[in-house]
Amino acid sequence: MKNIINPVSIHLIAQFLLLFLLFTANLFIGSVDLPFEEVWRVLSGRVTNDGSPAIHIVMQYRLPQTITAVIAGSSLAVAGLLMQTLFRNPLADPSILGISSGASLGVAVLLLVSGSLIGSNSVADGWVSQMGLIFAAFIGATAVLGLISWLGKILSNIVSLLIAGIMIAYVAGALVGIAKYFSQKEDLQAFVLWGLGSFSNVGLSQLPYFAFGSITGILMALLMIKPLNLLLLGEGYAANLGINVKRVQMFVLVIAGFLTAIVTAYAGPVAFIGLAVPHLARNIFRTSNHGLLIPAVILTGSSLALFCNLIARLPGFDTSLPVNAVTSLIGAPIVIWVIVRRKHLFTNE
Amino acid sequence: MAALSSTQWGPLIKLDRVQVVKGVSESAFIADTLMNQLVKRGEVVDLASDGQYDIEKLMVMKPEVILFSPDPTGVPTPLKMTGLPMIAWPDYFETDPLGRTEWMKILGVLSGVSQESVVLFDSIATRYEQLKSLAARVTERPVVFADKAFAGQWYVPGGKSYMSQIFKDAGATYVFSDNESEASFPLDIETILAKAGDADYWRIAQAARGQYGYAEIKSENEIYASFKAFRDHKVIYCNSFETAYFERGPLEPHLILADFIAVFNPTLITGHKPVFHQLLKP
Amino acid sequence: MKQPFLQIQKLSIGYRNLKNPLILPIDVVAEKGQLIALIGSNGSGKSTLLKTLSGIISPLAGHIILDNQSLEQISSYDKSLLVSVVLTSYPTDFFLRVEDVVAMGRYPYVGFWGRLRGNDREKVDQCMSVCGISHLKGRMMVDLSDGERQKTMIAKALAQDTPIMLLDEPTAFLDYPGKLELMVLLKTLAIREGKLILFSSHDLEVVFKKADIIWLIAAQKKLLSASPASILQSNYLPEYFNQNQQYFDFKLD
Repeated sequence: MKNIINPVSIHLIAQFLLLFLLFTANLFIGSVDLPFEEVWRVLSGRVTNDGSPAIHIVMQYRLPQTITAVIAGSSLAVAGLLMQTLFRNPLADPSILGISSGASLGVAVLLLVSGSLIGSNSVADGWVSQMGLIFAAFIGATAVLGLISWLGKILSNIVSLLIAGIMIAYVAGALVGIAKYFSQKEDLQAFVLWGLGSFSNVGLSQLPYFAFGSITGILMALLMIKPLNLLLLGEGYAANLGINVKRVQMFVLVIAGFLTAIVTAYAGPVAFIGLAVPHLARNIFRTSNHGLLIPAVILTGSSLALFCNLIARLPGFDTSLPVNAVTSLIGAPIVIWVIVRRKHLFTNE
Repeated sequence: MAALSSTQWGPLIKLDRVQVVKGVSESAFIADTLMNQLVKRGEVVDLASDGQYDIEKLMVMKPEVILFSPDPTGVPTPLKMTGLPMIAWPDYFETDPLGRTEWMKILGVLSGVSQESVVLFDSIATRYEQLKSLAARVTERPVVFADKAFAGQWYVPGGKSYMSQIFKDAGATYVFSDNESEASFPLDIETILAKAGDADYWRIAQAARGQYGYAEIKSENEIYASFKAFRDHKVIYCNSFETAYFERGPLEPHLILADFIAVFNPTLITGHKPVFHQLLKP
Repeated sequence: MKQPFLQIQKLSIGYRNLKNPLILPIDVVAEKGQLIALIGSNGSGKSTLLKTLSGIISPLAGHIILDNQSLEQISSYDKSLLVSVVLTSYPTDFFLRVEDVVAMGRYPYVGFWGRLRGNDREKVDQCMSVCGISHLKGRMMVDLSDGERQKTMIAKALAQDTPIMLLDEPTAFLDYPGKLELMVLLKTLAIREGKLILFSSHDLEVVFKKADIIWLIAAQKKLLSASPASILQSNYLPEYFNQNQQYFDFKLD
């Protein structure tokens, strides 16, 4: 039995503490400056309903938002890790196969096209509910995922599939562009808003569904630890070690695609978490073993999403920044930092 | 003439000079019955749909003047290409309700009924001022907020906006009246909860088709149930699709004002029949 | 009578979309403990034969009989216990450590989650030590020299504990001492571990010095199996490589 205080355990514990800290911070800090004691009283259940807005802000707004950030962050991070392993490409991320573009297309059809068809501004007119958006995004994303899976059966290798996926993303993007061109100002603005991402779209009663879908996807990913590690060796070695490479690749693709679809449906497109977190986790834990990496990216992904959400809603400003912009602003430098640091690791030896 | 916005041809119907209008835009969204009939019969041509001008139709029509809403670059480039005479119509920048109405005087000049338009405007202005002074006497001003969240952002009317002014004139206190903005601006949902969570009234205007009530509001976003105005069933609702609010409202602000006064202080106007806004029934 | 460990009967290889098989049908046998070098000019079908033998591509016709079983009837899992490979590609993932790669050779033997047990770890250590890479423990794959990387992949194949090991161009990119060192390692493995080791190579000089048997192939010719000495005495090399005799002017030890 190894000593429990090895570097990996220390990192895991540190990550867990960080996650807990950020989770708490997200409940205590927000655009509205609530006194610390008041939030504490709400959380400890000592405020039932004394007419103060604190209970609503904390329980109905900050809590679901914080949980949504955790679910979205961990799901995207796992999806990104799977895509990077699948394509053996450090630039792969959950959006690479056009799955989030598919979600955008679904939402564009709902917001922009259907509005014109029945002669109404969908958003200004209020007939688009949050559920409708989630549904449209999920339909769009899974349609692309279905198309990709079908192509995966036809195409002989994973690189062709990658190219096909990128092309599908372009086509979906172009269709979104056409829909935008023919749409009303108000609907366009709504579409732009959706595209900025938000963790506050999921109400408490919707959370269980979101959580269930996401946890299912992550559990499936955990069942794939061994084949995922083998994929790192390359297809030839993996096949020689007894796995059905093609079947494993399709399975990994569907899991990653499903996780991306569900997050994009509930939170809109959220960039860079799926790309940056696997790099960050590999750098922290210095491993490429999925048995450790999957739990690691779950922790790191949740923390990064919570951190971004915190930045987006810093107190002192009445408004919140778009989540998608914050994740990009923070995610991109992380990727650069990881690459620069690696260069040092291997040239200064 | 080509009147590309409903606030341009709306007053002409009221002034009985709609025959000068030969072109409109976005006919799919027009609620007015008369104008819909004219478009259907081909007497009025739809010159733009989905935000795109049909420049060829416009050039064939050769209107004597085009009334248009300026975009951020001034004259939209496609319109500029026609070389036809144009008048910019930025009436929506007016934050004073009567200011917006007063644009009808220009329409009167353009359509040869200048005198009538002045008379019409004066009567509307008088009625508005009467209602306003009626509401000014109230001692208890209920608190009101407006609109809904979308994708994590909640755009609310600015403190110096048209809506803010009407709320004030109707004897209510608008939650964000201290704000300096004339246009809508975004706020984080929790900011709205903190400031408007226990406001008395909540005004929503939209063009919903079919059933719309408290259950539908809650299904859009559960956070809405946290507002006192929602729990007390004090949502002031305007279905702009049924009431032609966006077409007639700017022309007849006294009707908007009357609706609000009737909600905020029912004792001031008895027997009022709501035109645009009324409390959403539980 | 005991059957040979590896029997290849009337085997046609190649890719199905090509009209003609690369070489004439192959008939050859091999035994455990032999170090066999597969040589031939570029495009003669060396890689294709290795891929066919490892089961990555299927034969066009004929049979491969391994330990009295037809290769095509062996499940991919059972195949992983019979044949191990060292390919020309190598893993490039950034944080893949040497011991992690070797450990993956044990994956056919470990449970669902891929966790190594004590005896698996011993096996990994032992294979690393046999291949002379124990000192590389903890190093990342991307950080290795070509020779070190090649040895790591061989240690992985060794950890897989299969009677047959197939290597595609293991000596490429190595300097001359490196090539020799690798040949010595393969020879040791063949003798000490009793493995049938088949590898392809272009490095004729080291190959003829160390291999037990040479398989010579060329387009539209029969596969020729013979000892290095008898091949050198014959005229087959110029014929199979389509070159003059002086190209092959080297001595055996």
